[in-house]
Order: sequence, then structure tokens, then C-alpha cells
Amino acid sequence: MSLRTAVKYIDLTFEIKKRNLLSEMEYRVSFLLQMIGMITNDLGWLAVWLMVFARFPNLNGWTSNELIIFQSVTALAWGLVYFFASGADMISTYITEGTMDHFLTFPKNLLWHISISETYVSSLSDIIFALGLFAFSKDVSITGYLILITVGVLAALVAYSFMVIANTLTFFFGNFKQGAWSLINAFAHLTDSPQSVYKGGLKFISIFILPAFFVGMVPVTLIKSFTLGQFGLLILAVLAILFIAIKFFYFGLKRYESGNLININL
Amino acid sequence: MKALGKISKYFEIGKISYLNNSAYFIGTISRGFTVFFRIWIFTALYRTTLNAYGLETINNLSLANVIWTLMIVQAFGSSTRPNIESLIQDEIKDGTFAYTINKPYSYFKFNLARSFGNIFSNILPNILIGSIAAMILVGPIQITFIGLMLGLILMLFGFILDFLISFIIGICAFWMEDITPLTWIHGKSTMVFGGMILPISLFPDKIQKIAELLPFSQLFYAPSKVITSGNFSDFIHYLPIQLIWISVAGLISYAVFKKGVRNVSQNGG
Repeated sequence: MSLRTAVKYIDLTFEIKKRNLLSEMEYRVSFLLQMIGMITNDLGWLAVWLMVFARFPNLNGWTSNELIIFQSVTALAWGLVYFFASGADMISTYITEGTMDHFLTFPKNLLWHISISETYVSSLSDIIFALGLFAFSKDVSITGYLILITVGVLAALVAYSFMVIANTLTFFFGNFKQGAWSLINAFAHLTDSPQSVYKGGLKFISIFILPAFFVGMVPVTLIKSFTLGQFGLLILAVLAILFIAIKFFYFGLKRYESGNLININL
Repeated sequence: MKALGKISKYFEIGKISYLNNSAYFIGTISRGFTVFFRIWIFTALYRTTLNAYGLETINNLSLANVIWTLMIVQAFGSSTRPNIESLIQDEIKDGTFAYTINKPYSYFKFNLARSFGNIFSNILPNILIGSIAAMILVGPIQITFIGLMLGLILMLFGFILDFLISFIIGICAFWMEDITPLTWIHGKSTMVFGGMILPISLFPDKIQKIAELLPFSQLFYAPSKVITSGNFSDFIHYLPIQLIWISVAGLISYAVFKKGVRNVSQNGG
């Protein structure tokens, strides 16, 4: 892909997202409720872990400061995924119902088109929450924010890739919507809990099977003490999982069976 | 005889929902897998904590006790999927609601039967897989027959209360464009105050007292606590709170349903 094409795709993505956002904002009460609902959701989660840390201030080297950084990174990553690419979570539905035809008729990249086709506007609250929460961390600084945003984007790519892989399994297992949901849920749960306590099998799974370490532990370490080696490792992991996700999706696509439904999209 | 006929009608609705939900084996197993995974994470968390602080118990609860309590809470909580509020919202939005309220059954009882059909298809695999996980990770705990029976009574009331709250949220779709924010708030409140991550017994004293009076702890935590502790006093403590909340939620659901139905417009055709 040339740089010009990449810029065109980025432009188009922002244009589509802008329109989706404006369309959602038409219903102001609903929009505000979604934003408030999501922030309450995030605060509830934070409250539980703060209660755990109030009782046990040090969990394998993690204190409430690491928890705040961790919650900031994961909220930012999931916020970015659900704002920009939540359509990836619909892949399983499209396969099961045979309704991917609509996307297949367009000239743009299929996976990109499916991914950006849905927007969870409430995930903007996640992004705002993440940036706001980081201000309470002991590591807050302009450099800290720059690293947070960089590793947050990389973590989002890992989460997005995993979402694509989990949904793509539907090509091979038939009705796998619930299975894909469970896999993503397990992955999300790994990114919700303090990862300093993961050992043995759980740690292995978090690195190699459900790569939650690249959404939590590695970004937190980088924000705490940035090293080029760790950063390079994160970029390598992102590239590897993104490559696998894209290849796996197009490999599975060969098994796609159309539902032969006639839809009119206005 | 007429009453029996009415009950059997809703029993059949529940049975269809049960069979429909059980048909997807991978779905059932994957919900159990989620419970297994969560239990594994909780075990790592609490084991590390106990080891780090050189403790044998937390607030007189052993690691096995904490994990089994959490496992039962998680298994009960996961059994209520798919959420009835989303189904009600969809029916209100796509107009199905307008048709169903004219049919010869109560919409409320129809959803109650549908909800319980789902729960019964999910609960056994969830408990089975969760128990295997807990057994492997922390070993067995002693569960008494009396504790189990008392816990099952509270479980039944817990599911009714959960249904009533979900029903109220679902009916709110008459006035709200999207009920998802209410679903999140309900879900997260259940997670925080319902002891789904941190057992309420481990909360700071003041918060514990407040949490135990809220409806969220009465959904899945109260029954699991009674099952694992086997204490009759716990049962006596939770039962009235549960019944009060069921009455309150029942009255609210009746009122919002009555008000919501007035918003239905049928255009014929």
C-alpha cells in the first residue's frame, strides 16, 4: 500500500467517523446518556480495584499508581477500538447470517470497510476517561501523555487484531457468535485485572494465546520506564498479530457462503 | 383446571426458550469457558495476595471459600445471558411489542418464562465447568445439604429480582432512544456491589453494610454466600431484603409497563 493510498484511507475513516458522530449527536439525550453511562461503567470498574488496592496496597510490585496507568491504557485502547473499528465485532454475525455481500461489492479494502462500518459513540467516554484518569497518576507529564497515547494506539491494534481473529473463527465453526464473544470476553477480562499477579499458565496464555500482556503489562512498563528495547518488542508484537489477523481473515473468507439476501441500503 | 392450563402455557414458552438456547452447544460451552477463565484470574489474584501478605485467610475466609463464592456468583450471573432487556428493547423498536401485547398471554409472564428458560439451559453447564475449575485451582470446600437448599431458594428469588430489574430497563426503551447506558450501569453496579469480583465480606465495614442492603448484592451474591457458608443466619439475614426488593421492583415494573403500553400505536395494515 502506497503512502498516498494510506492517507486516503485515513481521511475517509475520519470523514465517516465524523458523520457517524454528528448523526448520533442529533439525539442529544441519548448521546449524553451513553457518555454518562460509559463513564459510570469505567468508574465502577476503577472503584472495585481501588478497593482491592486499599486493602492490599502492593500486588506483586503493582500499587494503585500502576493500577491507574493500567486502567488508563486499557480504557484508551478499548475506546479507540470501539470508536474506530467496532465493525470487526460484527464479522461473526455477517458470516453466520451470510450478509457480508454488501461489503464485498465495494471497491475499498474489505476488512477496513467492515471494521469502520460501526461506531460506538460511547467509547469516546472511554478515551476521555483514560486521558483524565492518567492525570491522577504519579507519572503524569507531557512525555508521559505522549507515551500513553503511542502505546494506547499500539495496544488498540493488538485488541483489534484479536477481535478480528476471534470473529474470523466463525468461518470454520459455523454459528460461532457466542464463542467469539466468549473469547473476546476472556481477552477483555485479562486486560481488566492487574496483570502483575499472572503467573505460570495464565501468564503464558496472556502472552501467546490471548495477548493481553501487550495491552496492559508492556504498555504500563513503558510508561513507567521507557526503553527502546521494550518499545521495539511491542511494535514487533503488534505487527505480528496484525499480520496474522489480516491473513487469517482473508484465508477464512474463501469459505464464506452468501445468504443470497436482497438488501437495500439507503 | 384453567389455572393449570395457564401455567402449562408459560411452561411451554420456557421450554422452547430452554431448547432454543441449548441447541447451540458451542455457545453453552463458551459461556462456561468464560466462567472458568474468570475463576482462574481470581485465583491468581487472591493467591498472590495471600502469599504476599503471609495470610491464611482474608476476613476469616479461606482462599477456597473466596474462590467458590466467586465461582457461584459468576456462574449465576453468566446464566442470565442473553439479557432480556435487549430483547424487550428490540421488540419495542421493531414493533413486535405491539403485536405481542394483543396475543392471548401476558407479556410480563411470557418474558419471565423466556428468561427462566434461558437461565435453566445455562446454569448447569456454568456450575459444572465452574466447579471443575474451582476444584482444580483451589480444591473442594464443604457444602452442606441445608446450605445448598437454602441457597437455591435465594437463587430463585435472585433470578426473579434480576428479571424484574431487566424488565424495567427494557421497558424504558419506550422513552429512551437506547437503553444500553442503563444496562451498563446495572451490570457494573452488580459487578461492584454484587460481589462479582470482590466478595462483599471483604469490603470495608461501612461499604459492606450499605452493599448488603442494595438490590445488587441480593441477585447472585446472597445465594452463593449461603451455599458456601451453610449458615441459616445468613439466609434469615438476606431473605427479607430480597423480598422487599422484589416487591419494590415488581411494583415499579407494573407501573412502567402500564405507562409504556399507552405509548403503543398500531397502524394496522
